Amino acid sequence: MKSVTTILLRTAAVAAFCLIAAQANAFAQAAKLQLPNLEHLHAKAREVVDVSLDGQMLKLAGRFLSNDKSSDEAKAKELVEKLQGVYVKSFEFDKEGEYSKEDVEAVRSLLKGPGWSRIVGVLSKQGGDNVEVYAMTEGGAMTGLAVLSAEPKEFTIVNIVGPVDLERLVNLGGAFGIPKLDKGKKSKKE
Amino acid sequence: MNLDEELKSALKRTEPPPGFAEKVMARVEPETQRYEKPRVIFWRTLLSPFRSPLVRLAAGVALLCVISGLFALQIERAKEAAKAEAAKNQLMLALGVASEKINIAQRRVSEIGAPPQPVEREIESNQNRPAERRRKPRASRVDRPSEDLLAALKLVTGKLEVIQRLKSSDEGANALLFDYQQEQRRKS
Repeated sequence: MKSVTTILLRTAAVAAFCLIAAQANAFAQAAKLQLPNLEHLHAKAREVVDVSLDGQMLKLAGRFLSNDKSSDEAKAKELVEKLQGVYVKSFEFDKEGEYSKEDVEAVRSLLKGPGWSRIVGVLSKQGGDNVEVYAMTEGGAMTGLAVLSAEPKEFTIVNIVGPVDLERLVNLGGAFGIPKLDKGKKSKKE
Repeated sequence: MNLDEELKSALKRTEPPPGFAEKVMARVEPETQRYEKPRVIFWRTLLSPFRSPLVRLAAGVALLCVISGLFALQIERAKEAAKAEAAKNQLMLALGVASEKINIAQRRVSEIGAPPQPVEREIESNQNRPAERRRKPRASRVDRPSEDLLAALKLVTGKLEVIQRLKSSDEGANALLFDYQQEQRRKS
């Protein structure tokens, strides 16, 4: 009788563990966007950036990033330590209007799903430079980030799975040849 | 015959028969060898199993296996290193793109409420456009990170001047992004 109880308890413990693990995985997977088929844009694009790094690849890449604290690689290493995936699809075209509104809407509709909320949305009617930043939050913590950028000659989707430190990500700006946002507070003092 | 003479004749020196010495030596040598300890040579002991050709063959095969195993391990490590290097470059590229886009969004948000400055605005909007030099085909990005770095450095040098000029136009600019972060911190 005792052994039956022990077996039942062990089975229940294993089942609970599996459930928790599956739940955690489900949260992580929820932040991963199942992007629609954008193959038709490959032929039109002058340049395509397609990055798909899952957790294992991130760990592998993380091992090869420099530990030197002053380097950009070290900043990136700190940023990606807890990430479970980084996915980027970027199409750059020679002329305007190569991608359709439907393409943008198809991605945007994914970001209307549960858990996602738009934190920044820049929609420009004149320039057509539209950038939207979406975040997935779970219990007050960010578990995923998505950036949808639709510019006249460029269409970019960025999806980061895992807890993202936005401040660190923004600070990486200056490290990749992109001028970082210069905050106005400095100029006030001056 | 008295005793003295008897003794003299008994103990009289006599020559041994011919071949006596050889016979004695022939008997003595095997007796000596029986008690003599055999000389142990370490390497001979070590190599003694290899006298058999079967053992030699087995040892050769084993050695070949070990060498090829080490070689395969080395190749595997090199492959993994190449894969990791490619992943690293892809990661840096992905983070660069993500950071660029968020920076653009943040910059646009900060522009709200700023006084219109047509000339500078034009410069800024050009600045916000993706850096063409940074954008290269994916393969070249992976293969030639040093060139990308140089291009990025050139771009930064060029842009720094513009940023300095733009400092004055960013007064009172606080991105919604940071507001969101602060709100999240308050909640947590």
